[in-house]
Amino acid sequence: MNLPQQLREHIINQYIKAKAPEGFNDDYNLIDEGILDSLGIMTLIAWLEKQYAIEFDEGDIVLENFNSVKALVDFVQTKRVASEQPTD
Amino acid sequence: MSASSHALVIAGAGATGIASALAAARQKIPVLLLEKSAQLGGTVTGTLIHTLGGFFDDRGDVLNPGLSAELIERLVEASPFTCKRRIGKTWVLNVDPTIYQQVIGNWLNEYPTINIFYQTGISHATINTQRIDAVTVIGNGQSRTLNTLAVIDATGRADIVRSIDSRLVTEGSALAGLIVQLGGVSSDTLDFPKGLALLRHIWKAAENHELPPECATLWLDNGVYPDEIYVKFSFPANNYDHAQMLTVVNLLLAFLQARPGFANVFIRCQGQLGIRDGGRVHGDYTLTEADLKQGRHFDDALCRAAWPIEHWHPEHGVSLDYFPPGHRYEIPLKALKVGGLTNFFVAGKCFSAEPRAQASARVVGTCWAMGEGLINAHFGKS
Repeated sequence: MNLPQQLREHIINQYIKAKAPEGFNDDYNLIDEGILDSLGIMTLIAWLEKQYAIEFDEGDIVLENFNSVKALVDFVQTKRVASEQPTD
Repeated sequence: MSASSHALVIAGAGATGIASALAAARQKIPVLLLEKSAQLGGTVTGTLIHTLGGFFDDRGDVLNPGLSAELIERLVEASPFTCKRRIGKTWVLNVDPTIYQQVIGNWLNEYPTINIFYQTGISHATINTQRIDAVTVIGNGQSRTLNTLAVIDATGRADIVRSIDSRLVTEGSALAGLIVQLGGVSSDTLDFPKGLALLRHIWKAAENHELPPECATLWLDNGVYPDEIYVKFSFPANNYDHAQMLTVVNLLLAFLQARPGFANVFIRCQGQLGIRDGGRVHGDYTLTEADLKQGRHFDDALCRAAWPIEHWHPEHGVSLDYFPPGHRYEIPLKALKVGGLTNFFVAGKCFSAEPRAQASARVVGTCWAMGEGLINAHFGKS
């Protein structure tokens, strides 16, 4: 399963917990539609860090990184690339 | 207190007890409202709850007409800071607990047939042919026996049931809460999701032993006033150490003072320990999680409810299990009846329910509707 599929499945299983709503796709707004609330974001951060060995910085906790599956995919990919860069 | 007259005796002046008292007074039923503490309002005022759940459905519409709707109107009228607020998929009423206390105090005072006795509880119930004929009341160093029309245990701990037969109560295990109001905070400090970054910063500091472990699971929320936030700790009730928590709060305060927006932060008020599940009775019927999820209807329904299953698991912490959009369930009268007694009811958060059903039905709006629904069901709606 690729990254978008994994994230899509996790959002549906853990936060929607039912059949995905009509029109649900990778651009579906997870915040405005009430799928991710404060508690949801905190549990999602913990899961993403563990699952993909990434770390959220304080400045990473902004709406743009959480408002859709696509945003989450982009964020995780960016973080993974950054962690592979040499540090010196 | 007159021993010869018959009154509806309500133990507990929290949401359920007050709603029951008001509903009964409107039917001209004399009420004795007994409160163990020295103040009205139960959990809301004692523990400082400022986000009142259970009044609205997931669309923000009022779930139950009657006293619940009137309470909202009175709270809005009493303060320009009272407002309906969306939190995740739920709607709450944001209100200063002090305003709540003033409003319910004034409301109760409108009815001379409601007699309130503070620092008073029931020590014994006299049962005769499936009825509680009289109760023994202890308060202010005096003990008296009172004749009863009916008795409602709205203590939140099933105190009266315990005095009858403690085997009828299962102890609760949900995490308890401690709330601290902080003032002097910049108004945008907890804007969503910026506040989550601060929360994470605190959790990390607790992991790294820069803050006490009690801070590793705390939650932050905007308050009622622009300079106010609420800090919410949770832990097992039997782990509570008041002196230790004062130290924890002061360490947290010092930690926050170094953060942007917190230079002038101060402790405005600290609540008492909040017990989410003070024990549930084994009633004539036990409301189940399946009943909630199926949206089951009952012939003897007292009220509607829709709050998610907000379960504070002793090991796993809080989880929110939302119902589908538009979903509602009902609370039946038979879940408030105990031991086949015909004039005794256990209402509010210790009514007969499975732990996860109680985790949804315990919220203040549902307790208001349950209290009113009980009076209308037992005495007939006027």
